[in-house]
Amino acid sequence: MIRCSECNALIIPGALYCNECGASLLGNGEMREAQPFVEKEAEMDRPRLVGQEMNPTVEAEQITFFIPFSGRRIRLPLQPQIRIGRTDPSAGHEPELDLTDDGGVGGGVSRCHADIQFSGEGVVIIDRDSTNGTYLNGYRLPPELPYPLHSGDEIRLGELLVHVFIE
Amino acid sequence: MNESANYYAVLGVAPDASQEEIERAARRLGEQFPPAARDPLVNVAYHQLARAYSVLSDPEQRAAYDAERKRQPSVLDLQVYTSRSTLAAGEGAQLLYVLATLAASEREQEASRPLNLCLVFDTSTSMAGERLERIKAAARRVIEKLSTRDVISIVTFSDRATVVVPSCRVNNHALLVARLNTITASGGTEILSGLEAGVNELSKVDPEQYINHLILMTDGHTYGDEQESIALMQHAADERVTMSAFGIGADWNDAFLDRLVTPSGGHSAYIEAPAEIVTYLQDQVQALGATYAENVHFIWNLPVEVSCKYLIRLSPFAQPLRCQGAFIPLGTVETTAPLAVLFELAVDPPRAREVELFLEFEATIPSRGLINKRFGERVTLSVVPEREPLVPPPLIVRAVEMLTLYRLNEKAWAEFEAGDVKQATRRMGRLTQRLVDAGHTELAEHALQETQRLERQGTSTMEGRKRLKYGTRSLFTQTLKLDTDD
Repeated sequence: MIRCSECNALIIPGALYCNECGASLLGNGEMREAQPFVEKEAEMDRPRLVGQEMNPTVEAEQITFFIPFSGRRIRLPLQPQIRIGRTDPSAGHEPELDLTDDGGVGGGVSRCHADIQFSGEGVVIIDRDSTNGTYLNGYRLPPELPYPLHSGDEIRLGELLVHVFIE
Repeated sequence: MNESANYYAVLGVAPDASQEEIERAARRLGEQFPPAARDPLVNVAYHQLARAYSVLSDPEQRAAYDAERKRQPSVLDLQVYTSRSTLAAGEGAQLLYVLATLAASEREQEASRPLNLCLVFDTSTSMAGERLERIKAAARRVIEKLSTRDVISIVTFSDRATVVVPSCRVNNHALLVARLNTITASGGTEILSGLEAGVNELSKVDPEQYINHLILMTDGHTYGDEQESIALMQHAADERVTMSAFGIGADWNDAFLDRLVTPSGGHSAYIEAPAEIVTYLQDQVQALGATYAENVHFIWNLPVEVSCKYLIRLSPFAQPLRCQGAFIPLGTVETTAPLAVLFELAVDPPRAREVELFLEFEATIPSRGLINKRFGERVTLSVVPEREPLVPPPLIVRAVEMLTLYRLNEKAWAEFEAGDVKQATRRMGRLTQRLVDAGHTELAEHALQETQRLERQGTSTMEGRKRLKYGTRSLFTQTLKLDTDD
């Protein structure tokens, strides 16, 4: 038996789609991707996006991560860059959010997995071409593209689920 | 994929056509496909066209193909696609998707057999007004389209059945129309009595000489005679009567109509607005006239390691089928639309190096004088020690994606019926998301409405449910575009 990466349902090998949630099981090629930040911006009314929707995340001060798997809650001040990954001193990886002890290894978290960046445009998340991918609210993000992050969002690093709260 | 397709028929050229003729035919046909459909990987018809052209335009390949054709003349083109070619040993039951298409091997329209058609109309009180008027208009159109070789009968039912037009040849249109105009609506919905009278009218001619079909149009529930009705249509199917059923409005029993049409491999459909009645009825009669092969069955002689989890017809007229017993009715092959069915099979690999599946079909092709002719294709899956990555043909991926959407909807309503509103709401929400992702915005909106209704009030509407059920079902025909002439 295998498990659906989106809803964790048990799946009979050979299935092409999850019967519980409808997710494609054919890997990256068939995954539907979220719209990149830039495209969203182009599609929508620019002033509304920047002026209205982004306001809460522009004025944010701190960010809280909650990891259901380990039950750990980590609060960090919002800084220009927060790296998410696993510490590896020999290779010089020291991410701000280290998920080694939260089931990061088994969950498929890369050493340098993703970044959360905070600038005048608001809070964004960028997948750093991680092996097992970064998911934002169920969407696999294409690597190296910034996506707006909002309080209450759910991100998944490989198989490890993390809830994000921004205040 | 086998190579049995008649490429000359695909291009609509004679077997002795010149290279220029082949070139011209291929270009002309290719241009009929909208640009988006010009992808041999996802469009069966385009795939066949591209394949036919590549073989026939190359003199060497064409000679080899001609030689093969002489050796093995075919009347029905069977193509089989599978989602995988290997099974992993020791992994237990694994899923295998098989998509089979059966197409007429000659494109030219054969003089098909005449129709023996019975229209069975619900004339309960709720049909009064626009519904009945539209039905009369639709029946008039049908009568105009029929030829003098065809036989028609018209039955109405409410509390009991009335034979408005007894079985007769269509040679006096004015008289038939005058009879139609006498129909009025009042009373209940006794479907069994209507079906009995209809089947009786159909039995008045020699079934061997005709395409025998009953069309039921109803807008309500019948009470207590469901089982007898199903048994009646099962018996009628044995007598070569096929059936289609149309539900008008929201208040009718879709599961019952599905079961009524199953024995003959027919189909049921949802008519949301009375204005659509004419189109649905006309399309149905037109499809009947284009019948090439009928009484098509799948013959279950797969090894014991294989079981069928789901079977659905994708074309013509998408319809879930019952995969039970040794003879599974699939419906008909039309001259213009192939029959396509999708199997979801579970295979538990035996302790052997390979599993052989013989996919066998049976069909009657009157224009060729073939009765219950059998043909099939062998598919061999090798058993390997480790699971191999799945690289299914895009056509299968598409079909299974549609099937997944259809089943998500069915599952949500089954959960709702079982009282698990929370789970049903969640699933309907997921379906909404998937429909958005797949670009089916209109259906997604319906799904969203149902999700919100479930969330806020814990209820559903019959209308919304039918829209979603038949909407997701129609995705098969829309997206796969198996019709070669569309």
